[in-house]
Amino acid sequence: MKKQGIALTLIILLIIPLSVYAGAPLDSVKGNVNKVLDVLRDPALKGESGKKTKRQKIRSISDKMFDYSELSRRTLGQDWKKLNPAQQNEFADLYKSLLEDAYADKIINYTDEKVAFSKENQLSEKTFEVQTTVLTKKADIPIYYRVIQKDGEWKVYDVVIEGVSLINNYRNQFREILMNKSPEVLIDTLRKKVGKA
Amino acid sequence: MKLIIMICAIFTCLSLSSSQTFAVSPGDVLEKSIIETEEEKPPHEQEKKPLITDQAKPDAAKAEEPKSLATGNNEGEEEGEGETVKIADPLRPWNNAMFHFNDKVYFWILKPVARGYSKAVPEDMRLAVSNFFSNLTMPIRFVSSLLQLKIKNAGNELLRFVYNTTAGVGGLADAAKLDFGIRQHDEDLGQTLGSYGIGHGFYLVWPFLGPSSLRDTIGRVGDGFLDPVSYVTPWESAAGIKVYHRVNETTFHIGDYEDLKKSAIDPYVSLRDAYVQYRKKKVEETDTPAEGESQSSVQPVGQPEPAQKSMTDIEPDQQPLEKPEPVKQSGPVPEPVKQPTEQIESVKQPGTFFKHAETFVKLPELTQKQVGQKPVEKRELLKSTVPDNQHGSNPVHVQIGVFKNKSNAEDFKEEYKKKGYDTFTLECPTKQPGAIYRVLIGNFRSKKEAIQLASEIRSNEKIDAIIYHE
Repeated sequence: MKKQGIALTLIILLIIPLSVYAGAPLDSVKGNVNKVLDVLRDPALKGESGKKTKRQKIRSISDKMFDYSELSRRTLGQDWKKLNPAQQNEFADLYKSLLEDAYADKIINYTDEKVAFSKENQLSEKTFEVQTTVLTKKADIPIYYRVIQKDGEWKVYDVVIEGVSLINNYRNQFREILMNKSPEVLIDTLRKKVGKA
Repeated sequence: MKLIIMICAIFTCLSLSSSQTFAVSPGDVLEKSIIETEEEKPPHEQEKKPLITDQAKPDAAKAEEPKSLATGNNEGEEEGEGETVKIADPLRPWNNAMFHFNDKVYFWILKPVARGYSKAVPEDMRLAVSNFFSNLTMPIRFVSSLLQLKIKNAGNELLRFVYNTTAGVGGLADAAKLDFGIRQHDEDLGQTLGSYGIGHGFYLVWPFLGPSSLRDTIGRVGDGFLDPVSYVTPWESAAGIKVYHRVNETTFHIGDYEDLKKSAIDPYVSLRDAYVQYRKKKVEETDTPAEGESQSSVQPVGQPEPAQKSMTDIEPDQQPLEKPEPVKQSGPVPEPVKQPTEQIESVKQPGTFFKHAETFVKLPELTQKQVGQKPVEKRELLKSTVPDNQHGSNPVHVQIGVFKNKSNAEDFKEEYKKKGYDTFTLECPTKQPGAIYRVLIGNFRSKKEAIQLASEIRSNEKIDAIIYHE
C-alpha cells in the first residue's frame, strides 16, 4: 500500500508540467556553463580542426542560454522605442552576431580554467544574479550572470565581468551614435562591424 | 629600452607636477565631482518611482533626504540594471589623442616587448615577480583600507605581508592565499576618495598609464608616495623597475585589449565606460571577506555583519512613514525611525564614509518612533536580497509592522494571524524609555524563504514587509 502510494505520487509529480518550476537560477547557469566547459575540454575536439565544431557547439548552447531580445532591449533602454519593429529585429540579430564573434574566440582558448559557482542574488521578482568566479593562475575573475525567467526557463540577459556590465557598456556606445544619428545609421554601423553590410 | 625608461620617467615627473596643481584645491575637486548616474529602466519596467512621504519628518531629516534618495536610487535599489554610469569628459580631444597614443604604445612597444619577455621567462617565474610586486605595494592597500575603516581588510593585508614575506620567501609566493585563503583586496587612494563620496571629476587619459580621472589621478599620486619603489634612487632605476613591473603584468593580459577593441563599436567609449564601471565596483566593495577568508584573525570592532555588495542599502530615512490606523503618535517631535544597522544589510555606498563611521559608533541605536507600513510604492525597499550562507545561525523573520503602543501591535498581530500568518510580537528596547513592538512572522531557516514570503506579503496584502534579523 505504501509502495503504491509512493508510485502514485511519483506519477503525479511526473505529470505536473515541468515548466511550472524552472529550477534555481544558479543551477540553470551552472548547467549551461558546464556544457560549455565540456565542449572546451572535449579531447576529440583538440587542435585547429576541432575549433570550428567547438564554435558551433558553443553557439548552440549560447542560443539557449541567452535571451537576445531581452538583452537587446535592455541594452538600448529608452532608445529601444526609437527603432521600429523591423529595426528592432535586425538590431537583435546583428547584436547577437557581434557578441558571438567577439566572445566565441576568447572562450575557445580557455582550457584549464575552473569556474566556481558561489551564489545567486535576487534582483527583482523575475530576475536573479548568479555569481561565479573564473579561477585562473593569475587571478580570480568574478563573472556574474543576470538571468530572467522566461517561459519557465532562466535566460541570461546580462553578463557582468569584474563589475563591468556588458549591456551598460554597449548602451553608452550605442547612445553616442543615437544621440545625433538615426537608428538606421546605428544598424548600418553594426552591419559593417559584423561583416553583413 | 633606455628610451622607454626615459619617456616614462619624464612622464612620471610630469604627472607629479601637474597633479600637484590639482591637489591645491580640494574644494574644487568636490565641486567638479559630477558623475551623473542616470536612471533608466527597460521600457516594460517603467512603473512606479519610489514615493516617500515627507510629512511627519523633522527638517533635519528632510534636508538629508534628497541626497540619500539620490544615492539609493542610483546605486542599487533599481535592481542594479538599466543604470548607466556616465562621466564628464570635457577634455575629450586630449583624451582621444592619448587613447590613440596608448593604442600605438601598446601595439608597437608594450605588446612586442611583453611577448618576447614571456617567451624567455616561464609563467611561474612571471607569477612570482607579480606576487613580489604585489607584496611590495602592501602599504597602498593597507593605508587605503584603514582610511576607509575597512579594518578587516587592513588586518588581512598586514597578515599577508608578514606571512608572504617570510613563508612566501620575500613575497615571491602568495602563501597567505594558498595556505589560509586570505586574499588580497585591491585598494588604493583613488578608491578611498571615492568611498568618501568624491566623484571622478572628469575622465582623464594619461599617456602610458591609460584611463584615469581627476580623482583617481590624485589618488595615484598619493599611491606613489606609498609605493616603496618610488623611493629607489636614482630615479632612473625607480622608473626602470616600474616599467619592468608593467611589462611583467602585461604578459598576463595580452589579448584583453585586443578583445575590447574587437567587440566594441567605439573602443574609446567602451574603454571609458569599462573604466568607470570597474572603478565604481571597486569603490563599492565593502569590508566583506570573500569566501574562504573567514579564518582571518582580525575581527572588526563593533562592525555590523559585513554587508554584501549586492545588497541594497536601506537608508534609515527612507523608511516608510505612512501609518496604518492603529498607530497613535505620542511625542510631539516626530522623528524617523532608525533601523538598527544589523537588521538590514547595508551596503557601503560611495559617499557613505561618514554615514558608515556613524553606524560604526552608535550601532544599536533605536529611536523612539513607531512605524507602521503600508505604502505599496515602497516595494523597492525589499530588494535586499541576501545570500543564504550569510545569515549564520540567527533566526530570520519578516517584519510587517513596528508600533510604539503594545496593544496596537497586538491588534495588528491578531489581524494578520487571522489571515493565516504565523505572527508574533517582539518587544525591543530603545535608548529612550519605553520600547517598540515589532510584529514579525518567523522563524525562517533561510533568508531566501523569508524574502519570498516578504514579497508575497507585499503583493498580496499591500503592506510593507522587510527582513528582520535577531
